[in-house]
Amino acid sequence: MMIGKLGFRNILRNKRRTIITCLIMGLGLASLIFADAFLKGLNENMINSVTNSFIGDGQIHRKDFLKTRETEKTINDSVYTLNRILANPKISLAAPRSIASAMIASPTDILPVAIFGIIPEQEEKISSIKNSLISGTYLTEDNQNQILIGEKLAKFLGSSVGDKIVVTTAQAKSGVLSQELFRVGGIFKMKNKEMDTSIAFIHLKKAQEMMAIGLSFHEIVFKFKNKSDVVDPPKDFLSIMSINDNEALSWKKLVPAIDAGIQLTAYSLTIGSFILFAIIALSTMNTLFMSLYERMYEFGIMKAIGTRPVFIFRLILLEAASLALLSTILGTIVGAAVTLVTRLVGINHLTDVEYLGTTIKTAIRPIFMPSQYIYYPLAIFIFAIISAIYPAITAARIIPSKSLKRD
Amino acid sequence: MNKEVIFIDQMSKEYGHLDIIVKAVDNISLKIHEGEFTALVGPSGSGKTTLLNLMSGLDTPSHGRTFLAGKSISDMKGNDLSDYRRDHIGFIFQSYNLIPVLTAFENIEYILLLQKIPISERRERVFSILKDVGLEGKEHRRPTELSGGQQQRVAVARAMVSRPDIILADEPTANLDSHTGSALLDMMKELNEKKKITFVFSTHDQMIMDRAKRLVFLKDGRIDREEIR
Repeated sequence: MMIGKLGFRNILRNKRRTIITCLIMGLGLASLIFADAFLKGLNENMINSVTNSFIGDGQIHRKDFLKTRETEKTINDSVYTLNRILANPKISLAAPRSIASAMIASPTDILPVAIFGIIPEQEEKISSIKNSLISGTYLTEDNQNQILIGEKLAKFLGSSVGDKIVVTTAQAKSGVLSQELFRVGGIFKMKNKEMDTSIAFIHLKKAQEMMAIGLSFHEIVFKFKNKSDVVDPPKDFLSIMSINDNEALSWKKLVPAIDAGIQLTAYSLTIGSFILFAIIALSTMNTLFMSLYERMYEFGIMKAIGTRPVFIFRLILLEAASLALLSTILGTIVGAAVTLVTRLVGINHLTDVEYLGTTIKTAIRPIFMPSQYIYYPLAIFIFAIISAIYPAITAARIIPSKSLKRD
Repeated sequence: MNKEVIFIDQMSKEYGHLDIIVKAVDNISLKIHEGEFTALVGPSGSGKTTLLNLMSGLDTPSHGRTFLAGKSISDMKGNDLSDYRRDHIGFIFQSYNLIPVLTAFENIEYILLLQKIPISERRERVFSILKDVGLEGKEHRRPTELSGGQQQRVAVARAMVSRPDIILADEPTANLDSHTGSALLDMMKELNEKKKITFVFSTHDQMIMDRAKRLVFLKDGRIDREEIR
């Protein structure tokens, strides 16, 4: 077809301009694909950092416990609730915790902390406390008087593994102070300021004794089987588990800053996309107008010899479409290549950086999504076509007698 | 007398803004008959090119009408005008008048494609006309690979291939050396004589004036005098 021949040859007419335009559009698309993949990788990393370190995918508490932190507010029917959640097919793991505010004292200092009573074997499957130990050993069943403290807390207390520490807390209901002597069994470093300065772990049984809460506990931390449930926790499940004045909350509610951060990145990407689309649209329009003004005389001749305006309109759109096609092919290949390489190598620059209250613990690996290779190229293509409409109308409306006035 | 091809009826074209009005063409009436080899002659600014544009419908008159093959093209617009020009008028411009990304063959074929002529007939007509203008063997060359004279021959072939009623040529020799220009004009004159193709030139080139059968002298947008040989 003549129009195809004309369109294709015209875009090859000024190769340098075509290459520059394709590079602008293509690299724009590539950066969009990579930015999306990177942000999805960053989000996944943040979610993993939150859910795998200590928070879990979600938690169950007695209503208002998180606000008041009152020791007597244990989960109603704690053991039944734990068994009920473990029996749910969506759940892979669950572990109980008892929590109380306490004072921790060493021979050199005394500091306020939150004491967490845990079952070591269950806890090690659900959180990263054991893996975060930098000295000493994890809690063992045979020694109920061990305590694990954070690196910074140990530094403030001037304590090291094996040193004696006294923990004082108030018993539920009565408020009577309960005091126990512990030996530092291990020191952990979770690379999170709050965790490393103001939290200590002891055996659940010992915590229950000190808090006088019987076999009850304050928190059940759980993990979902499916990754999709982690990213988007099922509301019906949370609702089913929120009975008997207990409340099941996902990590999104427990660490709202992360969820807000994820939404913010999506919002930023949307804004960035629009800015990029605008640049691409203007670039396409500029290229087409430059080409148009160079070819005014030619369009004048085409119209003079009987070419219909709609043919010229279609020709300009075809040229824009050809440019967009070349650019999207280039952009998709470059975007996929950069994403693949960075996924294989991993981006380590943010490792151990605390962001939105959580510490990014592993390298960020950009994530491939089919949508990146469908919607973005399509959007670029459509934007290029839309931005070609105005130049195409201008070309179609050229008045031959005026454009032929060139000397 | 031969059949009338173009009739310009009291045509005027005014340019201007507010009180300053310039009459590029001032109340001209003119008839062109089949087989004529006419030159519109005059100094720069006399209205030659404007008259040629008005004749072809490339420009709209302020007053008056142009009748081409009995039909008023001054009332036509858009696709109708494009189609009418395509089917009834051939154009030759000063230079740069070929589509640079198309070969000589494709430039000539282009207008036949617009006319939706079947491929076999297109090929036959294009090769035949290339032979007529002496460009056999050069059909695959792009305009940049042809000399100025050869480019104008392709333009003549393109103007003729659609078998129009008239060919309008605006200073066709302006960018050619005298030898090439002369050869081109001889070819056009031969086509006029052998195939009875009607030519109207806008020019102040003596070579064209020497070959024209009819000279229409323009001055300040009006017909000053006519000379028939």
